[in-house]
Amino acid sequence: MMMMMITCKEASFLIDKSQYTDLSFKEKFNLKLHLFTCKFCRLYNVESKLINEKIQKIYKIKEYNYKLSDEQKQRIIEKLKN
Amino acid sequence: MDDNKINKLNPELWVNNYGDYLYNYAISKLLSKDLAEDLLQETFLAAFKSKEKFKGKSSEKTWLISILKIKIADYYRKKYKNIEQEQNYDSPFIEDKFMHGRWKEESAPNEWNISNINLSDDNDFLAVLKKCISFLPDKWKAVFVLKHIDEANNNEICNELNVSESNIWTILHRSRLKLRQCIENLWYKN
Repeated sequence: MMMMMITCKEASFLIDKSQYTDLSFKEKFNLKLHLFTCKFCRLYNVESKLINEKIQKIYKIKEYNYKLSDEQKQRIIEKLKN
Repeated sequence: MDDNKINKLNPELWVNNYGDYLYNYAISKLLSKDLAEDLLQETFLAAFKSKEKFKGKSSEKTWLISILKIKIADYYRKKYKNIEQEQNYDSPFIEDKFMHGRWKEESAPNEWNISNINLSDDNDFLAVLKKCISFLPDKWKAVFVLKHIDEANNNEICNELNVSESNIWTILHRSRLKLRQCIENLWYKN
């Protein structure tokens, strides 16, 4: 396996990809090596994970508790009748 | 025991029985109440028109959700297709030969006060995040949202939007770069 220094551009891509899927051994290794030397990407790593956690929350229906108003219901029922 | 229980449809009860649930489901994927109401209406109409096709194998609720999901995917697919041009992408990385791939000074991540976020009312942060998602270019938003609806896998999105998998990774990555920057601007610099 070739040890390779990747750029911030590549590292941040891998950080985001890793939120969705497992990285290959080589990708993981290259990312670790980069994070070891790069403060900005370490920050990106932390922030990307936090954002991911909050994104999950946004798309969970559990977080929502809206009710259709009677007026809204009536509008839909009227449409169904036609 | 009746093993072959056939579920029956009661369209006159749909709005009252499942309206709120489907409404919330739609809001969670569309992040807009108006849009959610529109698609809910379309869902009920489509369901009503195809009620002959209901085989009674799933519950009424499951069947209605599956129709709503199709409507939501349709909505994003249309949105994706209607935009011809990829919006200008302002890369946060230096693209020249010597500094290639490094963060530009103005877009390098700053340190966030994470414990502050976790302590503060989550809703404030979520509101900022929602706002930033709404700022994403429409094309990216379509991919981004479809990816997060029920954690769809990339194959499904490739098929739905007719984009390659590597394109999906690129769009997700660019969206997240933009989200991070947007949150930093709204949350920290104000």
